[in-house]
Amino acid sequence: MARCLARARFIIGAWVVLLALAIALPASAQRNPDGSVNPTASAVKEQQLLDALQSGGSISGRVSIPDQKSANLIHPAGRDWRQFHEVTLRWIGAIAVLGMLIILVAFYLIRGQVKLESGYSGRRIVRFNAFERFVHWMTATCFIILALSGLNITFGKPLLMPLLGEGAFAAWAQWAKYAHNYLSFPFAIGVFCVLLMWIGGNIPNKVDVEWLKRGGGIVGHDHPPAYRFNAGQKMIYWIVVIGGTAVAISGYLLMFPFYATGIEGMQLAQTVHAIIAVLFVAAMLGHIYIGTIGMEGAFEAMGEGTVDVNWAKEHHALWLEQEMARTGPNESQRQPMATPAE
Amino acid sequence: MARMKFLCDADRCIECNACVTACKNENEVPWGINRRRVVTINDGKPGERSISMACMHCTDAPCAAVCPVNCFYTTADAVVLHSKDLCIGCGYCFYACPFGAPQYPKVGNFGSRGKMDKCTFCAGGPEADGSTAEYEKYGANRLAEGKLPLCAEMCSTKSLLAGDGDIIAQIYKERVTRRGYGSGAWGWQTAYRETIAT
Amino acid sequence: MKTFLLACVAAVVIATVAGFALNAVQKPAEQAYSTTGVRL
Repeated sequence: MARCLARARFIIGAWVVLLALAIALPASAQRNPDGSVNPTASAVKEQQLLDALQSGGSISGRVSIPDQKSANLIHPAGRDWRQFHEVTLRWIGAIAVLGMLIILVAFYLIRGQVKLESGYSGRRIVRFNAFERFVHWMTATCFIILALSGLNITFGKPLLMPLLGEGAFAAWAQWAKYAHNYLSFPFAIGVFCVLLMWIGGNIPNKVDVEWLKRGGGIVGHDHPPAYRFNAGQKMIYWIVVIGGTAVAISGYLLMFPFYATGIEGMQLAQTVHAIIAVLFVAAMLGHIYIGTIGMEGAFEAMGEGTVDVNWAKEHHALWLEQEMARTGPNESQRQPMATPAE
Repeated sequence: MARMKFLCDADRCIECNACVTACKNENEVPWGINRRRVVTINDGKPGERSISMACMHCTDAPCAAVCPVNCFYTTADAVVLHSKDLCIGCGYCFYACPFGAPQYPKVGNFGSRGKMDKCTFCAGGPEADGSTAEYEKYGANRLAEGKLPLCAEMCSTKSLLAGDGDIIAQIYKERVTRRGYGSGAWGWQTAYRETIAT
Repeated sequence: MKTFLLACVAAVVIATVAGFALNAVQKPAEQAYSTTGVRL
C-alpha cells in the first residue's frame, strides 16, 4: 500500500517536473539552432518547481533505499502545518478552554447551583447500574489523563517548561506521551460501550425541543419534563460519541504513522485530532461542572447509582413515570439512602 | 561568523552515493536510518537530475518550532542540532520538515518513535566536543576539529558543497558563470529564504 | 466507590496489555527498511 502510494507520488512528482519544463520552455528552445542540445534549457530551477507545486504536493523522485518516504525531496506544506500547530491551534485551544472556564465561573456566580427545590424525600430510585457507571468512570478517568497529556503537547512548552526546566519537563512529557498512547485503548473501548449502551435514550425528539425552549431548567427556574436523558445530556452524548470516534481514528493514524496515509494525511490527522480534542475538552468542562457543583443531587446518579425521587420528579419527570410504571405503583425499587448501590 | 549551509549542484551530481556512504561510515549510522540520501528526479528521462539531500539547517527551523519539548538548538554557526536526551520521539519534526530530514529508530508511534536522529553537519550534539558519549549518540564532531562535513569532502564530483553560505554561494555562482548553466541552489528558497542569482 | 476503582484498574490493565501487544509488533527501522541483501 505504502509502495503504491510512493510510486504514485513519484509519478506525480516526475510529471510535475516535466510539466514545469513544458510550460516554462517551448520545445524548440531546448535545442540550439545548429541542432545541439542546450543544457541550460533542460535545467530546472527551484522556483519553477515550487510554483508548479502551489499548495500541497511534493517534489519527489527515485531513491535506492527502502524507506520510500525519503523519495520526497522538498515538501513545502510542512510550513503551513507548523503555522497551524504553533499559532492557530494555541489560539483555538486557549479560547475554547479558557472561554469555557470563564463562562462556567460566571454562570455559577450569576445563576448559582440548580437546587432541588422540593428538597430530598429520602426515597431513592436507581438511575445508572453498575456496568453503566463502570464504563462511564473508565472513560472519564482516561479522558482526564488523555486531556492533560494532550494539552501538554500543545501548551506544555510555553506554560509548563519555564516552571519545570527542560530536563524535568522532557521527562514528564515522555511519560505523558506513553500514558496518552496506551490509555487511548480503554478510552476508545469506553466510548464504544457508551455508544451502544445509551444510544436508545439519546435519540433527539420533540420533548427535547420543548425542553430547550423552556430553558432546560438552567436558564430560569422552570422544570421542563424530560425522559432519561434531557437535550443537554443528548448533546453531550453525541459530542462524546462523534468526537471520541474522531479523535480515536485520527489518533490511531498518528500512532501508526504512514501506514495508511502520506505526509499530507499525517498533517491532516494531527490537525483534526488537535482541533476536535480541544473542543472536546471545553465541552467536557461543561459536563463536569453540571454533574458536580452545577446541580444539587446530580453527582449521586453516577457516583453511587441512585437518585432521590424528588430529584427525578423535578428534572426527569417522564423518566420517573416510566420507571414507576415498569416496577409497579408501590415503588418496589425504593432504596433507603443507607444502602449504597455498588 | 560563518553561517553553515549545504548546496548540492544538481547539474553535477552523478548519484554515486559517496556522500551517503561517507555519512553512514563516519557517524556509525544504524541500518534503517538515512541521514543523507540521493534523490533522482526524472530517472532515465531527459532532464534527469540527482540531488543529495539531508538536513538543510534552515533559518527559523520548522522542526525546532514544533518540537513539544524544545530539544533543538542552533549553534553560533547556524547549525541546527538537537538533544536526544530531551527528545520524546513524537514525530512532529518530521511533519514540519520540508526535506524529510528527521529519522526515527521505530516505525510505529506507540509511546515513542525512539530518539530522533538527523544530519548534524558533522557537528555532534550537546555533549562535550569529541567525547565518547557525543560520538555514540550523534556521531562525529568534525566541526570542532575545524573540518567540514564528510559527505561534502567525499563528493566525487564536488557537487555537494558544505561550509559558510557566502563562500559556497560564491563558488556556485562562479561555476554557473563558467559553464553557462545551472538549476540554482535547490532547497535554498525553502531553507534559507534566499536564492543565488545566476 | 468500588465501581470507580474497578474502572481505574481496568483502564490501567487494558493500557498495559495494549502496550505489551504493540511493543511486540513494533518494528525497529533496521528491520522495516532493510532488504534481503542486508545482514543484520
